[in-house]
Amino acid sequence: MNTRVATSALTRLRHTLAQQLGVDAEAGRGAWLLRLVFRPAPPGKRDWPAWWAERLGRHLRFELAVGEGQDAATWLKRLFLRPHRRRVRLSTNLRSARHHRGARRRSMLLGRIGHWLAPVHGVAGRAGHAVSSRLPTVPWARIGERVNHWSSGLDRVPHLKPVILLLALAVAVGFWTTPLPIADQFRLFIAVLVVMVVARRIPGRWPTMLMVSLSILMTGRYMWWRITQTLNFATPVEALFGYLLFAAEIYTWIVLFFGYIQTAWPLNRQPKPLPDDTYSWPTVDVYIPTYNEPLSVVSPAVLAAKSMDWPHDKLRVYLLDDGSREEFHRFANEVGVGYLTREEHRYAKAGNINHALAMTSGEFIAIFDCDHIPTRSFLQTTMGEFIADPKCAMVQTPHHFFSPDPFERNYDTFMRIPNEGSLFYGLIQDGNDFWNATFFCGSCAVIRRAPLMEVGGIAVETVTEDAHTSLKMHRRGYRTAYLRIVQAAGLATESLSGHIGQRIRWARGMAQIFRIDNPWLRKGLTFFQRICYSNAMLHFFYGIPRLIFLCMPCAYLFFGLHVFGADAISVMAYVLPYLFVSGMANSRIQGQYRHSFWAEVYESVLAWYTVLPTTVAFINPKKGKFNVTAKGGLIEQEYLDWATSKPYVWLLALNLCALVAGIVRIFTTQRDEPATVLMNMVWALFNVAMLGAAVGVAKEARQVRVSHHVPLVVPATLVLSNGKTIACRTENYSTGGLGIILPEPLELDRGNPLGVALSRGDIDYYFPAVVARNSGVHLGLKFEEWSYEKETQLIQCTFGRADAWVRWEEELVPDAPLHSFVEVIEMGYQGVLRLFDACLDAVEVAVMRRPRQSGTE
Amino acid sequence: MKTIAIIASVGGAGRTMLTATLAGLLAERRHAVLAVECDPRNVLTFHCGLRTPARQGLHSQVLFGNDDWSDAAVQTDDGVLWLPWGGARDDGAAASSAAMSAALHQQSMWLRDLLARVDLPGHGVSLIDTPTWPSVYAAQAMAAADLVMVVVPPAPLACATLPRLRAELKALGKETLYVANAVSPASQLHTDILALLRDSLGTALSTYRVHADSGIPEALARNESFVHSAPHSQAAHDMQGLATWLSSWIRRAYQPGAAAGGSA
Repeated sequence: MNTRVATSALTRLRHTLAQQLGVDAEAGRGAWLLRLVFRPAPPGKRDWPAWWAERLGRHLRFELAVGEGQDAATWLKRLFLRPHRRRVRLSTNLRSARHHRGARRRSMLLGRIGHWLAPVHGVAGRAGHAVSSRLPTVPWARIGERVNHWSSGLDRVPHLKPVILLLALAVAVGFWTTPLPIADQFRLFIAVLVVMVVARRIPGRWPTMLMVSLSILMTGRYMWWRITQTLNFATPVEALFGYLLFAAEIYTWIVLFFGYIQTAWPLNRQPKPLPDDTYSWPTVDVYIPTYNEPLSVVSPAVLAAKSMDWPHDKLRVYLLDDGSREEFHRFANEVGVGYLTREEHRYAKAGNINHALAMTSGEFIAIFDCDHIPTRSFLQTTMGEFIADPKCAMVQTPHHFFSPDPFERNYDTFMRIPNEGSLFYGLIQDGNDFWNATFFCGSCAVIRRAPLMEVGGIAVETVTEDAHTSLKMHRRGYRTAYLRIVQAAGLATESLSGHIGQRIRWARGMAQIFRIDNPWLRKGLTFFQRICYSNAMLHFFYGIPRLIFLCMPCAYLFFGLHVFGADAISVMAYVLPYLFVSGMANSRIQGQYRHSFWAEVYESVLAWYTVLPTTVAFINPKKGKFNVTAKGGLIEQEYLDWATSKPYVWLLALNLCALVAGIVRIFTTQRDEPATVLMNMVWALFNVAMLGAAVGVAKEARQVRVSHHVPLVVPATLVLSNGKTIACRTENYSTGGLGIILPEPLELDRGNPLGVALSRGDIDYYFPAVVARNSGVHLGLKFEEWSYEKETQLIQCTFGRADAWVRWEEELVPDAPLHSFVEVIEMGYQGVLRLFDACLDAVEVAVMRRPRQSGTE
Repeated sequence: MKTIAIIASVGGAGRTMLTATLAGLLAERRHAVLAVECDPRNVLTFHCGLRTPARQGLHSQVLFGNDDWSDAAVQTDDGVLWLPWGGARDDGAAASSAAMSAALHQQSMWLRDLLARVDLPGHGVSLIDTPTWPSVYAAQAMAAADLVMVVVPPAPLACATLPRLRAELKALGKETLYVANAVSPASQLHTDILALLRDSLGTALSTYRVHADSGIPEALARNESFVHSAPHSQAAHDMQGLATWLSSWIRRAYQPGAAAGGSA
């Protein structure tokens, strides 16, 4: 009875209070608390306290991970004990980010900043558009044509060329050595810059030459100033660091000038026709050396080589197995190719080929790495050159990779930003060809037997036997040719450590050649061949200069050493023009084959690792062993390759500390020269970006595929068991299986039989198969009755097609220096974030003692 | 306006199916399309959605000289005009058939003159469906055509009868396109016959070979358009390709100046 009275009294009290406070009587505790402090809003006005309280509550619930309607005890507990939840990763998943942004060529960083600046940008853009639409349009293409016309007219005047060149040299020497006041030097810079900007718009080769000449002029001017004005040091320690920096700069100047000569006039050679009478075509031996690669990697190359268009009695394919494997022997017998193996395995690949040379007799030798799949037209494209030019000893074609290399995979730049190789095969080899200095690159090339035997077969003295062999042939007066037409494609190295291993081998080999067979010291080469070869070798010595550049800002920021004897203003007056103008000239030359600033990223990654091998090989060329490039690996989990990235983590830490030291310095000891501190800090910041990018590459992205799935997109037809057909595309290929992208999901179960038809020209080839997996539009097929005959047909319909890779150049995007600068900086930023994430991961693993969780979802 | 005759030297080659499908696909490519049936079987309208055979049509024009054939045409939603043969209610079938043959034999340019009276724009096209060649009906269509599309199923008989057809087309000086239909890549016989055809016909054989697909008769049974009910099928892709080729042929042939007849 009493309790009832009490309850009803309480209820009445509650109702009265609710009325007074303006709360709904049944409302929760939160509303009561709120109304105790704030009065309800007058009608028609927004109830701000309630709105804020609700937001605060939601935020707290989210932060403390408290669900809706949980009691006070949970709240209290969560205040002190946080539930375990997966840490948010700071670095973005570039792949999904790109996916969201679509294929648009916009950077994330720029996109974000652009978003803030959108109104300004809109107004400026509209104003610019309005102005430019009023201005008369300039027919840049026609200007280019006219320049070509004039130049060919001038070319006809005898003796004009040497005279002009001598005059140009005289003018250049004058230009380099004339001292100017700082203000005039800036004015000169602006004048040159205007000319560069205009020349950039004109297509053709002569504007490129103009840009290169201007770059040479500005660089020479900088060099002169650098040598005469800046090498004054106060203390021996400063002098030591100063001369180190100076030496590194001399290296970059040499490489810059040699590079200009090397790529001055890419030859762009076209295939020569073969005689109509196929009886007169020469015999060709095809060598496919292998050592430890699995058969599934080798068999496509062998079958494709066998299907090349060439008279059957004049084409012999040999599998050179240095692993002496029974499986390979059986395979060779089954598909009808020669099998060569040897007792002792000296000199690795070079020894393997030399052994085969003694056992075969073909007039020409085509060499393919065991994972390079040639197209059917390879021989018909390349052999015309030999028939047209009897002194031609070798024809090289590009190495093309249909899978992304570690850089491309880990930064998701495949098919978007040209990789390391595209500069070499797109431009440098073509430039070499003009000077008759095309190098042999070990694969995808044809060599004439006689000259090869004359130089003693493939060179065995160095680990880059290919370049060394062509050097020897050039010395004997033979010619080589380069055809920039992709006629074979292969797998790129899969992991970063493998990639670095390959580059180390190249660097070591080039250093060896430089020592034991220096192009400048022996007779037989032309001046320009010497330049091309030495530039190729010097390129691999970038390790030490790069490391010097990466460390040098620390000398000032930590110890206050003045390694550059000039004040900040004159540094800007000379260094900036040199960097800008040569950057623009290089961007113009390299165009679509290399984006500005990416070379710095590639070099930064490899610098540390090439220093030691090149130095050792330079001191003692006999030291060093051949390491085979591992291909076809598998990365099951995302991880940061700590072992590989360790040196960069240290360098990164060094530069970050230098930045902190710089901030301290600018407010304490160096208040008198803030410009110098700032300049060094900008330099360190640039280094941080490069090193960040280098570390970021070491974060190996997960590879979903299990075996050697080769990306491959060709149209295909599915024939279902009920007689219906589906037009689709293939996605990837592996021995005995095919990945298909369906236009729409299909009701298919594992094991369902169906057929897939691929076409080679007008002919359909049919392959019976069963469904191996089916998820959404991705269908995995496993072939039935798989035989080498079927595999040959499949290769013919896919990799062997003459047009398989013709479009590779079209897919490259032209360079835009500013854009790629932003992109590189962004990669650096992402790299630092990735490192930070990996550090936290490592700490978590160490502290929690739990197995590492697989990466982001 | 251009006229395309669809003929075959064996039965069941897929003439009517191709005529009906291509009519729809060419209409999608912004051509004014008239599909004409010059075949007493009177089945074309089944392919455009009608459930009963057409009564009125061309046949009365041949027999009685009536001019009501223009009323017999039906138009579908996609804008294609269908002109059936008609005569579903005809009783004296045998007698009229003989009379028909005789009449057509006498006026060899009957269909050509008739089509000349149809007012279609320059890039318009009429597609003529025919019975198995040789017949007076097929001859009429061939005489009227600017382009003869020969449907070749990958069957031995088709190959055996093809030389005679080729000789006649050559004698007539008609531009000809050969299209392989109902090709199954799984069949070695089909692959071999295709290779043979490619060898003997050269570029006259269209690169678009229409694949065999069990969905085609199923779509007809369900009264659906095959290319729209199964847009992802290979056969639909092939016919789309063929239609695009024909469309560009029509536009090219219509270009003033280049219209001086095809190279036979």
